[in-house]
Amino acid sequence: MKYAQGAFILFAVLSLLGSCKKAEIDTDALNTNPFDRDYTGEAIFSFVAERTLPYPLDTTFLNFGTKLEVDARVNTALFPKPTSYVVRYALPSGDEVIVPLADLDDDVITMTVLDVEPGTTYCFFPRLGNNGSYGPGNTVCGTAE
Amino acid sequence: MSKGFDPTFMAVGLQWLFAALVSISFGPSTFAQKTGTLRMLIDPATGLEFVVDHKYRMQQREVKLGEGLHHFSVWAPERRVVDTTVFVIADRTSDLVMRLPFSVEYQQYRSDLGRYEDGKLMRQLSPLVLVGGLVWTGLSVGSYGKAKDQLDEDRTAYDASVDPASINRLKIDIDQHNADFRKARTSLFAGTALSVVGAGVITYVWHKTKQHRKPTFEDKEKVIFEGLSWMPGQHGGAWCAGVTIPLQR
Repeated sequence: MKYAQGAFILFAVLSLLGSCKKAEIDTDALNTNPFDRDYTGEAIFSFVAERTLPYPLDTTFLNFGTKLEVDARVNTALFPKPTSYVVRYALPSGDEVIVPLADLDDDVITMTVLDVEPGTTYCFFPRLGNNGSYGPGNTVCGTAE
Repeated sequence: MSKGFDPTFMAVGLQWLFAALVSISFGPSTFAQKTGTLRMLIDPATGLEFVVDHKYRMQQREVKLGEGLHHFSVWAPERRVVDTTVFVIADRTSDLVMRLPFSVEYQQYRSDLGRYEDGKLMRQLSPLVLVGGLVWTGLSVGSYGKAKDQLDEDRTAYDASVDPASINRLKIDIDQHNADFRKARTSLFAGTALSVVGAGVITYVWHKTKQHRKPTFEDKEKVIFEGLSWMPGQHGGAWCAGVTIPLQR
């Protein structure tokens, strides 16, 4: 009987030790928030459509170039709660474009690159931002026609 | 000159005769017996008793005895009976310097008493370990609970945050909060361990000392000493009391 009591106490102590370990937070495993720079979950930006369009190179409207527009949807269902946000993406030239929420139509952002070559694939890396800082993003590509 | 009875001669003769009779009758006890003084410089200073020549029980620190060899049985409470012989010199004061060793029974009693006192002290002190452990555990439980609550709040804040910069700061804070939590957990384990050890110490000490009884000292040497002056007689005997006979006074 004494041994049984001792074993029970030992089991209780070991259980306590085990439960204590679980209470710690592994910051490397914190990657489920879409506003976290370490986010590794489902893609935030998903490809919707692409268009290759001519655009005027000057005001005479005699010379035209070709541009590629890629539509991507912001997957707001991943957000922990409804919130405002902005999207920033880099052009192939290196320049960055910031798109406010007001410019989005039904959470769809249109990313444009000028002077495209037909048959060439162009990729964008839009990032989600809020309150002046930016978090994660993912690559969205389109092919010029 | 008449050769008859001479009264003068007769008076002188009677004087000589009387002197001779006195010398014969009382000479050995009045003229030959001389005494000396013996001072007892004996450790311990109190409670000392001794028996002289197997007959006279005494307690004083200075005795006058007839010249010659005398036997002493010296005893004091908690000490052994020591037998010795001393030659008392007439008209002199001599010192008997002696240290009575502790009796075996008394040494055993002191040893048992020390063990009893140690056990008693251990019984009194052993709960302190448990109390200390419980206090430590109680304080640690508070710290542990706060640290755990903080981490729970951090986890909730992470899941609800829509600010990348805040999330970045939160992760830095979480590292610190994890360290606080580990510290509190270690303290809790240490307090719990101390409590368990304290309970074990109490169990062990009480188990080891539950048979301990306060020892009593039975002075067997005193019994031996008191038997030294037992004088058996026709009707069984009688206890003798010691006296000092001041012969020179």
